[in-house]
Amino acid sequence: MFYKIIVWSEVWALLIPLAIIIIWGYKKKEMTPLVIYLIVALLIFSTGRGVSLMYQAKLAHKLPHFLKSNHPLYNINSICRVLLFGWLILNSELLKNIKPLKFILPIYLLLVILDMTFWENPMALSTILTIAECTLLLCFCILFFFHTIRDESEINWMGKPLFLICTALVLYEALNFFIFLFFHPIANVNRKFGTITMIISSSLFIIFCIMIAVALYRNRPLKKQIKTVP
Amino acid sequence: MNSDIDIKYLVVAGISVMLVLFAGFLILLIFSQRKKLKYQQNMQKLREEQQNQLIEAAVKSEETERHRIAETLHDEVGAILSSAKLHLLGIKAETLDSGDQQLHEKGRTLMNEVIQKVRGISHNLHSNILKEFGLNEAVRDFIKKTVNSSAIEAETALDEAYTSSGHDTDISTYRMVQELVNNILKYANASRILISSTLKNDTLHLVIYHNGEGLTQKEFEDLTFKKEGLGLKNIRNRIILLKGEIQFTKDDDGYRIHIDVPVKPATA
Repeated sequence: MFYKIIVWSEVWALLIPLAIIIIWGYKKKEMTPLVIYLIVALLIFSTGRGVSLMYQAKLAHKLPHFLKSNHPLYNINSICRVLLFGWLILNSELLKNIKPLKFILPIYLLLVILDMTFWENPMALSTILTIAECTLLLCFCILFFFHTIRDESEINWMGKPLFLICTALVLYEALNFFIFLFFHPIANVNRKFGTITMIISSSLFIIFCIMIAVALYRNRPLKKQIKTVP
Repeated sequence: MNSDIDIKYLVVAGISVMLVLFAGFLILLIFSQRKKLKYQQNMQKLREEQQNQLIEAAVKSEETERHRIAETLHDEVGAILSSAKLHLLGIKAETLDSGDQQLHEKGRTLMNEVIQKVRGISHNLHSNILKEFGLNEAVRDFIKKTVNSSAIEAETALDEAYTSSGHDTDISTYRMVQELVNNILKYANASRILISSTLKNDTLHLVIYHNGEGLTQKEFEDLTFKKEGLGLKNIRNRIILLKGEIQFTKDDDGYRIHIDVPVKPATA
């Protein structure tokens, strides 16, 4: 039962931040990429879990060719995560005026297309994609953190929703880095170790979703602005 | 088997290193933010100190100017008017015809009136009573002279437990009461004014009640930011200087202005 809950966490954990959005809404301009990611991830992971269920029910032959495995779905998720979180962080107040950063995401997308066309099979889980995801997102977040240290105009960056999102992202990507790097060798090591790494990775994803939910709650639009008298 | 163990160790070591790096980075960020927060707080404190110094200088120069004008009125204008009155009294009225006698009488009455007015203005601008008898007596005297000359019913109920908290605090409180009462007389169309005070926990709580058309807190805040609200700006500056509070409230029976001024604890 615990194993099933953990396996399905990639679906239900996403419902936590989505519930916050449904109940309290969100500030459109700032959080649009995050909201798009949450919806896309929910669709991808739900489909992935559905594919696994079909396999367990021995109905895989009924699936279309591109869904014979859930690996391409995880590749799409990795690409979406880089593009949407990259859009969110690089468009923040601190980084949006740094022109060279604007070329990173188009270059990444171009390299992904080249990789999937000439070097790797898009139907198999790509370690290169996941490592690129970790590296890029960690670099974006660290860049954001350094700019918060240098920024003198805002005192309390740690209370800002974007800071919390970047912290969640760094925690998730940094600790998953070696799991992604050794994904294929781990899969060949004994089943017990594979399960442990899967539990660690899923737990990190649950923490990631909870932190994003907190960030979205802090970023909720206030219905009434109260003017305080000095 | 060996390569399996190697990968296990590699993954565990990798995750541990990343965890340590993440924790270290987070601690670094927290320290940097705290440092920045402390710096900003110090800057804010300095700005407030500077603002208070400016307000204090403005209030002191205003007080000095009031004293100068009061002394000029009393010693120079008052002396000339007294001399003019003596000259006027020196005219033998009985030698004048009835028309000139009436004019002489009118001139004498007006001269007395103007001397009284100049004395009144001079005393209002000066703070002699405040210095000698304290805030309560100065407020009573001001109310007696200013309000009782009009058709307004005015009362004071001041806490005698309050004696004095230093001349600067008293003078600022007195000036605020003067400005507020003058405003009530000018604009509120009130028929009753009550000034009361209580001393509690080293805070002097003054309430100015009137039954006319007064200000709400929002109106007061708005007016202090307008060009024409000079008197109210002075009140706000004095409140900042005294580290006190002012609150305008409206009840069914009228308007109340609450002034809280921290005072020095009374020595036994």
